[in-house]
Amino acid sequence: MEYTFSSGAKKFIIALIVAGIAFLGLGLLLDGHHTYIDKDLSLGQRIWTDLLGNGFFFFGISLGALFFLALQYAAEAAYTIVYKRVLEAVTKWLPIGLGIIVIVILAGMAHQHHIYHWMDPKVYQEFLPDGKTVNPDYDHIIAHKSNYFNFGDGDGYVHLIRVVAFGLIFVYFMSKFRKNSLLEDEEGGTRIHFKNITSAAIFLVLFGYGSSILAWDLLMSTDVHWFSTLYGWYVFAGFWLSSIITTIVLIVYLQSTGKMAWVKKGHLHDLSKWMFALSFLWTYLWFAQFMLIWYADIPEEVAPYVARIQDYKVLFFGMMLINFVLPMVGLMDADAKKKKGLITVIGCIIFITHWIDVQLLIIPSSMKGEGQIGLVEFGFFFIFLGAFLLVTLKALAGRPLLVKNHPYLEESKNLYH
Amino acid sequence: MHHVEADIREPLILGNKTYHQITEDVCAPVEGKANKMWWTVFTLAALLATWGLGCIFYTVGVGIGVWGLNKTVDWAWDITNFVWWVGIGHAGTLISAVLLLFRQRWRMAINRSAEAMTIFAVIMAALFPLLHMGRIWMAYWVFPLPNQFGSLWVNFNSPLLWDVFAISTYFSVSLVFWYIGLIPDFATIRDRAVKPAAKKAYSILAFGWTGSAKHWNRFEEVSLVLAGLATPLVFSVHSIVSMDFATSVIPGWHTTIFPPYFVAGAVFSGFAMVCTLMLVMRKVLHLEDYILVKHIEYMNIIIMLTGSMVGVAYLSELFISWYSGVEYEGYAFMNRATGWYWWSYASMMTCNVVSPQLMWVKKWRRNLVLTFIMSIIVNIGMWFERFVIIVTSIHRDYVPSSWNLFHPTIVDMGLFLGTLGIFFVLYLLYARVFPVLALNEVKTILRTTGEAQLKQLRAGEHITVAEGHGKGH
Repeated sequence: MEYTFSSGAKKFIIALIVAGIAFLGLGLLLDGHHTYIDKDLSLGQRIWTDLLGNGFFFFGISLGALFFLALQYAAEAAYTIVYKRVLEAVTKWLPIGLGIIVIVILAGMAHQHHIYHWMDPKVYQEFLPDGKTVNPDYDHIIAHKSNYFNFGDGDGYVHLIRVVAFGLIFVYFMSKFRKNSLLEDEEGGTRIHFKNITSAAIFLVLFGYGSSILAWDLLMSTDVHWFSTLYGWYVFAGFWLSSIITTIVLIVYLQSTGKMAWVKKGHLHDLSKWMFALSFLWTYLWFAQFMLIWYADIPEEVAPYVARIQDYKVLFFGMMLINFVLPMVGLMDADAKKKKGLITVIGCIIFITHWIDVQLLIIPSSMKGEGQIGLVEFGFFFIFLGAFLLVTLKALAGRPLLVKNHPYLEESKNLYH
Repeated sequence: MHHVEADIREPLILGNKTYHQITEDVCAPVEGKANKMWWTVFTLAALLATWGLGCIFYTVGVGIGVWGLNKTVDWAWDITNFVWWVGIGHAGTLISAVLLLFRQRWRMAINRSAEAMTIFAVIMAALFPLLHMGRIWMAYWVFPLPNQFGSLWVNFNSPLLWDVFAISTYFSVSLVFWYIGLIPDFATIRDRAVKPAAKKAYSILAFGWTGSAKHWNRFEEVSLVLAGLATPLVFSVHSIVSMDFATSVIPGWHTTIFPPYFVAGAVFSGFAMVCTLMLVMRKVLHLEDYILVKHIEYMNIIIMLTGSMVGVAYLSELFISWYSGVEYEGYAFMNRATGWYWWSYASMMTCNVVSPQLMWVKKWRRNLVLTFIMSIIVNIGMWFERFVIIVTSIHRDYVPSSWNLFHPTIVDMGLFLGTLGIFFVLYLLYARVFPVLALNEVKTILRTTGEAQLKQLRAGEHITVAEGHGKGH
């Protein structure tokens, strides 16, 4: 059974994008003339920040789905096969997300924005050109890291190469899994399945390193003085959860149009369990990182937390508490995890808190004390969401909704009744 | 319910088993006599245990000075052993709880013994903090009990106190979980027992289990609830153990990745210990039809996965110690890798990160001899991990006057080897009087994963379990 990109869905997406443009326009109108105290800040900086924030958030959703897909192969799991095509569709955004991130980095290298303070060549020179006067912009901590980001002159090539390399590796696996999936439909047998298991294992290893490194490079380095070993795993838990929620919502939507009757309540129950468990995993990692830094109270380490708590107290603690309490209260019960309406509502709320989480990883660093989450940010969110759904639904419409010839297909279909 | 098993799935129970045959196979060690091999291992373990008990009495009698305590680093032995044993005590609950929630049927062959191992390992772990108190009779002071000792009260800010709560909760839940699982199997042994004393003992242990539908219903509900409770505990215990280190501002200890990385490391070492025990047990107790090479392969994959996660964590720490630009952190890690104790760091890296990569080769991870050696290597590596963390960070403290190398005393060594002895004594006794396989649960997967039954299923025949159905129960 095929999914056809309905005109209703198209209208909804257009409405999202129009709303986004309206929010953005209104935001620029009301707030565009805001004068910033810090000389590095500007409206442009705010817009680049939002491009990075949304770029990473939606890139993460695709990457999370790709990780989950690979995990199913490696774990010999059958329960996801009936909605494997949905997972595959969610990964489709990956190259676009990567492209947006790379554009933001290139713009930084061309000094269009100052999100990455280490891209400023001035911070690396201990003395001014005369060789005697101490450079007031010199930053010995950043200078220490110079070989990690670039070759000491602030061009950022090492950083760019790393991001592009890992990004392209992930995109390669994405297109490979998607291609093999269609090939398996035609060819049958188990050859492709076993090949996919091997690819999945290789992907998971690369992902294990790449996901942490990308999180450090793209997000943690916006606060270039700061460091946390847990950071990569924390970011990963967040985007994995967002991708599960995206999958749930898409399945609920498809079923509301009368499609995918083979996905039973039990299958949705499994996905809700993932949403439930990953919310706690994310909260656990949030707490582990926060508590250890709060407890030791070392000035260099607490600085980013101080910035976030001072300026975004309600959002910062609110998103964490919602993530912790809402699934516990709303999804503890086994029957609750099977109610489509309930899991959609809870899923969407958690999804939004994770969008806030990612924005709060960047905005307080790049906009210093003068950032906000306002109309401009919501505008970008709606535009990105619309574009993401457009790509994902088009990918869904492009191929049958159910795989054929997957060795676990019959088992998966008959798991629940 | 129409059940479909994918064609590429391997069976989980070999041979043409009947329900009765499963009962016979699992009850055989309990009902029969111990063989020579059992007695040999038991004697060895008992000897070690005796040495250990001697050292325990000596420590309590003379005082903890016998550990050569002079500088902070001298405590390393006690703490290393504590953390090592707690880590091992992790796999049991993970196997029973997490794999139950994931409905992994292969867990049924190993969960009972993994849980037993967990409980014995946690007891061994608890010995070390108890002994390090010196005045063991005052151990109850760790609890926030109302008292008349003036200002004496526990410190809620201390992760050591959180440990007391976390480990005692974990122990209690694991014990209850294990015991509830045992009840139906005790009832089976009770019904088969011939000697009156055994019958009496097992009927007390079986809590009047009759096997009615209502009992099974309650059994399954409580198992799920306990699994749900136990899963966060698997995380909390080792996270809090890691916080004993990470909340302090000692270079090499204060790093945010510690909680999840300790959990991964604990699962890693726990699975390795389960592998060690299972490989011996399936041979000695003739359980080759239930604990298959496939089971070992699954465990090896988990060992490889968690070993690699630990590897990512090691490298993250190493990288961030440089990236942070903090001189103290940079020195601590440089010193770990290249200082006096480079050999312990190298052992840790080799055993925990490099050697599990052998498991990428399917042939190797299905090789039982190699697996057995690997499981021991992993546990050596995990012992070194704790040794590295503790000793390398403390032997070059902020204050040069406390710089010192670490030397274990003979009592130290006796305590560690002694706990190994006590652990194996308990485990061997368990293997003689308890059903080492969750026999009634294994029966539930016979129709769908038995070798002969799978053949019928795939041939499109009606699944039968040959005569003996329902007997012996």
